[in-house]
Amino acid sequence: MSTSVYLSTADLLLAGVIRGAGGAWPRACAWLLRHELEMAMDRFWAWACPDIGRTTAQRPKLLLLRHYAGPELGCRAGYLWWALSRAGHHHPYELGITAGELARLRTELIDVVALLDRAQERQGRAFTQ
Amino acid sequence: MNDTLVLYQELTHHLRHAATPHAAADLVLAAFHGDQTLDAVLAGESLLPTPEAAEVGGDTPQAFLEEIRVAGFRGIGQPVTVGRLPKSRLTVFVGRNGSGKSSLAEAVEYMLTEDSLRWAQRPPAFRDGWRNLHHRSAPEIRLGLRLDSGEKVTLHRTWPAGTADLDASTLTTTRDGMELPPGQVSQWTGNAARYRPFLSARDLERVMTAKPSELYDAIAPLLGLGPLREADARLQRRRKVYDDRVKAVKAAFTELREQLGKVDDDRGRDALTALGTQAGRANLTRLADLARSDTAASEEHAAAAARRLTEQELPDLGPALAALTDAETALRTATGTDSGAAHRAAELLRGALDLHRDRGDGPCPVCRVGTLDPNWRTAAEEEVTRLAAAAEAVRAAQQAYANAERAVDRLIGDIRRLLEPAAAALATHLPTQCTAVRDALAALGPGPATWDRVTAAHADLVTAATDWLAQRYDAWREPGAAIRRWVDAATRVYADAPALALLTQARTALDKADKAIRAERLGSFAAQSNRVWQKLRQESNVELHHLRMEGTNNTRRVLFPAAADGVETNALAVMSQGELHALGLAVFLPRACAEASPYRFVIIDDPVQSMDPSKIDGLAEVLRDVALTRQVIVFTHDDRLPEAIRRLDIEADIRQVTRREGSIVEVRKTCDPADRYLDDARALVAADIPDEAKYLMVAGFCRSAIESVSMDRYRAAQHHRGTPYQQIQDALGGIHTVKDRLSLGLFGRIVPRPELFARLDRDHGTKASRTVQAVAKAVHGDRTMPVAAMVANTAALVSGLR
Repeated sequence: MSTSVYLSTADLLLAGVIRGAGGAWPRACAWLLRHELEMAMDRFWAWACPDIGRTTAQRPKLLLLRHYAGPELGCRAGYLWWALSRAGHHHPYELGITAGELARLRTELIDVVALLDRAQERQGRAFTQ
Repeated sequence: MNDTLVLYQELTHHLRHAATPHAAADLVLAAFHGDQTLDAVLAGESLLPTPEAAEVGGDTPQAFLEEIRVAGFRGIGQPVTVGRLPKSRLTVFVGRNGSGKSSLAEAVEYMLTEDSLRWAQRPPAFRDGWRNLHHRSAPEIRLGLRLDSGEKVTLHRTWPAGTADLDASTLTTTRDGMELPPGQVSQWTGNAARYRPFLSARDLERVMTAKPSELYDAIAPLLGLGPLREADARLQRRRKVYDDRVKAVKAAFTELREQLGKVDDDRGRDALTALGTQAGRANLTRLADLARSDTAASEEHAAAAARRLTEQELPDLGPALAALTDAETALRTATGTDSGAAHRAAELLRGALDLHRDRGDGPCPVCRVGTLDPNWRTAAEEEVTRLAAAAEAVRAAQQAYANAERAVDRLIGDIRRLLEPAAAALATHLPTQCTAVRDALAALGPGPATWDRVTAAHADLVTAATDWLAQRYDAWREPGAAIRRWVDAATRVYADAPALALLTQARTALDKADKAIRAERLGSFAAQSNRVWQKLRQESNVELHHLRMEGTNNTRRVLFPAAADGVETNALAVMSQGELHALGLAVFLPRACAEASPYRFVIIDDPVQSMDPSKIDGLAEVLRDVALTRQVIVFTHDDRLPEAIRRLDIEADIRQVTRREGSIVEVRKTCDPADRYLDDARALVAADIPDEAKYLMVAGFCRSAIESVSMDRYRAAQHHRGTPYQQIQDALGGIHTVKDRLSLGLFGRIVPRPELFARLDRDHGTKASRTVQAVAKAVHGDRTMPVAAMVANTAALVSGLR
């Protein structure tokens, strides 16, 4: 997978080299990473079932992913999306996500995106048959 | 005013109030001044009216925290400077666990106390973590303090780069830019341990984990009664000197009685009588006399006789007896067998001579043969002269004998007069020898054997009397000296009695004053604690009564009497974790804010832990109250406290602490999360980031700003209506989209989208609904509004929603 602009921006933020980004980075990173995940899922749905891909709500798409990509990957993607969403939204009484949490989520994201992209190749044939 | 002076005046007031006699009151105050003054007053000098300011120490400065700079310490790598801390007001540092906020708090704590409670009770491994491993340069902590006098004091602690030894630091203190030599660093910097202007979770836990005596020791110094304790110790030390003397005299009294009981003569018995049965009532004059003289009255006679006996020579009867024998022999020789005949012949011749003179020559009338003639006459006259001389010799011998006999009689009389009284006087003590002497004396006569018997008996008696005297002297030497010593000591104790009584009176007065002042001060401390508890208590069923300090020495402890649902109990037994935490705050916050503390700031690390949401409102109010007179700096790991502060409209300076990889800690000031998000959004607009990513992020911050202000608005409105806290939280927790949150903020409930947009456009300008929709869509990558316009519109909407 080629490094997208979102992921590379997130990496720059994590490394702390973007001038002017100050303390804004944890939440912004989460959005960028979540968007990266959503794009990977969009690619999966566009291939696996374009009808589902056209839905704007993420929740049904994540639930259906378990059927299309297998329960394990579905769960992992679901959890990742939930964690990134949570970090990205303003929650009363909760502070921004920490660098450590972000780094862990980033690693998970790379794995999940790779698995989603590979699932198209592996399981694609089964669906077309 | 100076604390010691205040205490001195309180003490003076209490002594006067209790109508303490002047002498005792002066002594108490002198003891308060110090050893020298106390000794002077005890010696009779008069007390100065008030202590000199210099004598009791200068005024304590009041220090405010202005700036904290930390590098390479615990979670902080690169230098972080937290500056412009408001002098009075609340400052809240918000950061996630591990963001470095506690490191800031601990840096201040370590700076001032050279220790940290966090480490003090932990294994050494905890302590070893002081150094930040991401930081290669020299670790440092720098505190900028501003004194009420306007002077700026900077405490700067640095470690050599690369050292692992926490104790290897050097501290430099500068005052208005001038470096102070190590010895001149003000005393008050060492008071941090006493007032502990830091309250960490560990401090707060101390109400449960500390031993009762530790808790007591933590609170006792706050009452500032140290000088009273010292004064009492001074009085006690002097009293002890007297007490010890009294005790020694009493102990010696018993010993002396035992010792005298063992002396088997009348002196001992006399001394015991003079001693009596109570040390305080002994007849010292009589005892002194007894100790000086070595004789009891009843034995004076015998002892005198014995002494005379040993001192006087016995007259020698021997030569007189010899003279008598000689005179007797001479007399016997002179009056031989013919002595009578010679006398008679002389008489016959004198008669014949008279006849011859009368008749002249003629025949002898006796023999009738011879003739009396002149020849006969010459011979007869010679014969008569010779016979007269012989008679004279006999008379002389008779006279000499009589004289010798008288001499012997006189000597015997002398000897009897000498020995008989002595024998009589000593008869009870030396019966055998006395009887022997008396018997010998009775038999004493001209016979030399009787005299020999007397001399032998006398010699025995003298030896015995000498021994008796020596033994009496030895037997009394020890008790006599003991009596003298005791009399000396007792005389001194009698002389001390007024001083001792005065000291005792002074201590009683001081103790009373101490109790009264302690009660007053503890009362005010407990009242402060109670006020804090009342605020924090909220829905707790535990009602805290005034804390009490009880016991002394090993039994000292602090009691927290409480009532749970009206039943009396001990607070520690019935409180939950969160309540104990609140109790810890109630106990230690007044301590940290003690009026006498030189620290005008108090640092609280994570007070929110395990507190109910409702208690957090109370906490915010408590902090607001403290912040009226103190600089309050709070570190917290979640946003509940800042939220309560915003909602209760408490003036506060809120700063966010974040920590990046490599221990880069950043502190950003923010008053409101919405403003913070907008600042972030603006910063991103200007940042050098690819447009797609930038759009996503800017929209994200705009969305967060709208969400934040909507939720605050909903919360404030519901709070105002009296909706229970949890219910508000539950309502907010169930809503996730920006539109629904906006709907809650505007309507207090979820409304259909068209209604929401209509209200937005009506009340907040036509761009409002467009902006909200643009922000909402942006998360899916739809870019429908330029980022600069989106931020500006959002800012307008946010300020409209406030």
